[in-house]
Amino acid sequence: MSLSQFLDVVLPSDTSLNMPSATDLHIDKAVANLLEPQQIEEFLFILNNVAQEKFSNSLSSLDEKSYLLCIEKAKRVDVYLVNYIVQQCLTAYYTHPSVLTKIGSGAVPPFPDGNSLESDDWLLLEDVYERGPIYRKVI
Amino acid sequence: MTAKVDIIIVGSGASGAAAAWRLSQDSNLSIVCIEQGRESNPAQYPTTKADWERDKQRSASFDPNVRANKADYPIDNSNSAISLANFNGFGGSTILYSGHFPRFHPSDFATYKLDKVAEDWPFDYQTLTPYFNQNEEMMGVAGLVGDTAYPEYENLLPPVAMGRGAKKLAQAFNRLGWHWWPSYSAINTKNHQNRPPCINLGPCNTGCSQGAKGSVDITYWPQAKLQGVQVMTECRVFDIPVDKELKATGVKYYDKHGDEQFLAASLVILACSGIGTPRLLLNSKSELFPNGLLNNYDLVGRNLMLHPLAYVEGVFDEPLDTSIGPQGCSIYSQQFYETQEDRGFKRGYTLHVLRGSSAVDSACSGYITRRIPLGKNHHQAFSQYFNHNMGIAVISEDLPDPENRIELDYSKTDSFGMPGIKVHYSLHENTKKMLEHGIEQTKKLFAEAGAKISAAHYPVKHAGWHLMGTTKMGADKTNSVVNEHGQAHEVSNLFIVDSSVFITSGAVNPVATAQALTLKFCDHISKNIKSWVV
Repeated sequence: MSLSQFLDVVLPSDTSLNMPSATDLHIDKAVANLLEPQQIEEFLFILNNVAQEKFSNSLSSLDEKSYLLCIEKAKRVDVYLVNYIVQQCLTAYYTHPSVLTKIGSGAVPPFPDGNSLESDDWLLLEDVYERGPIYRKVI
Repeated sequence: MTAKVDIIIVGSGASGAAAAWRLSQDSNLSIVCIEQGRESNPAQYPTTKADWERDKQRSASFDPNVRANKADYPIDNSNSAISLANFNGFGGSTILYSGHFPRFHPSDFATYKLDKVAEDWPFDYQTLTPYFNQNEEMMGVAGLVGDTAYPEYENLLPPVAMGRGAKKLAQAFNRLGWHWWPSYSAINTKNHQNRPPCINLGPCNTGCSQGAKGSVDITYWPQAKLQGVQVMTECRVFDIPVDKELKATGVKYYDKHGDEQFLAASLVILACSGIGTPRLLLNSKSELFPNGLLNNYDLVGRNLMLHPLAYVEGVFDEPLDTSIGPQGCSIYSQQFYETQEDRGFKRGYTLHVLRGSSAVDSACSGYITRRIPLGKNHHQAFSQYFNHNMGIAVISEDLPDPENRIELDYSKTDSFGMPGIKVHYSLHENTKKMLEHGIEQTKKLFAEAGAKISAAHYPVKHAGWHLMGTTKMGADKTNSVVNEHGQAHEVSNLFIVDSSVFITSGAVNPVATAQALTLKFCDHISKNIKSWVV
């Protein structure tokens, strides 16, 4: 069981939304740069143990539903580590320029152009203005 | 280095910068600013890279314990409902702030007179008005005149675009008959003071690489330096010696090599923030002040005010590009700012409309709250949340309480061996009622706008940005640390010009008021400079 296989399960592709999988983008390498090797080893060790205890099977042979259940159960062993690893995977995925473009996050750094926002209709403030001052005067 | 200078300013943040600029208008004065952090390079801010959100979790974190730079000092938040946030570097916390820039209101200076809570300030809103105006010109503040929550404004740049999400909320505010207005934002919306307009990159809170946000390293400081102020970065002041005549003789500091130095001065001005200033005073012990400088009445570090926040988030069915634009500046409401007895609490709060969360924040918070699953349904759930969500912060007025305080923590020291701080802070019943009321009203607003509530809680733990009250101002030296000019009661050539001197907190971001106060104090110093500088 590798980090890459883990990423395949938690961040698969979605063709209907044109979203690539984490492994399509080699996110495992980015995640590896964010984590200590021991953290990854320990995390996978915990997951494998949970798979054995819960399903009497290896993690890699589980279906998606069972796999995701293992992640939930693994939180009971070390919630800090599991959440930390998952969040680092999400961070690596959602900082990839290709992903940022596909989700519509606007201009991607180094920001040559910036983002445009539509002009506002400040006539909306007429109602507020017509009600008059609301601050307390100090006399 | 000259053996003695006229004025030393400790701290280069919002107030230190304004003080340096104002006082250096007198070209006869020699002024040195000592700053514990380094100068930032906007070309290296996280937002110049696609993976900027990684740095937000580390080097650009607003939590000094996470950031752990050489300039940072340890903060023990274990006995505090709220964790403190700051940035220690040239420009101070304005480097990482959102730029939300409202003033205090007239009633904020008279809470006892109006509501029989806390104490009144020794001057009123009108007295500060010329300094508010001057400061807004320097910082570059966008907004719109005619706001019914304030007396008239001057010097405003065109407002920051509110965005499609805030427009939905604005229409809901109108249907409910509630106040709202474009935010006062220290963000250029056109060229101003040789800085460009904002192009809506968004993540202002990791430093504005474009230079549109008014952080003081690019507003006050270039002019102050031109006027002759010398800045010494990476130097940490740890002691303010006082002679037998109760005069500060200068400051002791560690230079960037860690060597102890002394710089003499005729006048010492502190602008190290609501926690940095009391920390330095408490560490400056002597025979005359065995419990810390200016602390013979056990007041230094007490009355810490933080603006406890509630956070409510709504999610719209349709995509509204909510993540696009300056994160902390859009629109705001002060419908519930002033006391109304039937609400069951004194004073009030601001509803601060935020933009939607960023990609990483959306994914991570969605995972933690189980709103966005892992696996094959992940992308669908993410797509229905990201760019659909908006947050509203309920910013409550925090009334002063001597038990809310910081003290030195000798068990954890900074990179120079100076003690860190321990925070003791809890919420008043009045504040809790206020925040609960704010959450209910915000839910009503989101419902009116057609959004579903996805989060609502208080207090927001990691939100202790607004640091106020720890060396309060007043007339009585047994009940206050400085007088109405920011001058220490007990050491006449020592001034405190930052938000430490606030008597009450208002319910808005404090920096506009802190800087106006700095300019007022420095006006007094400048007019009376011969009292201290021969």
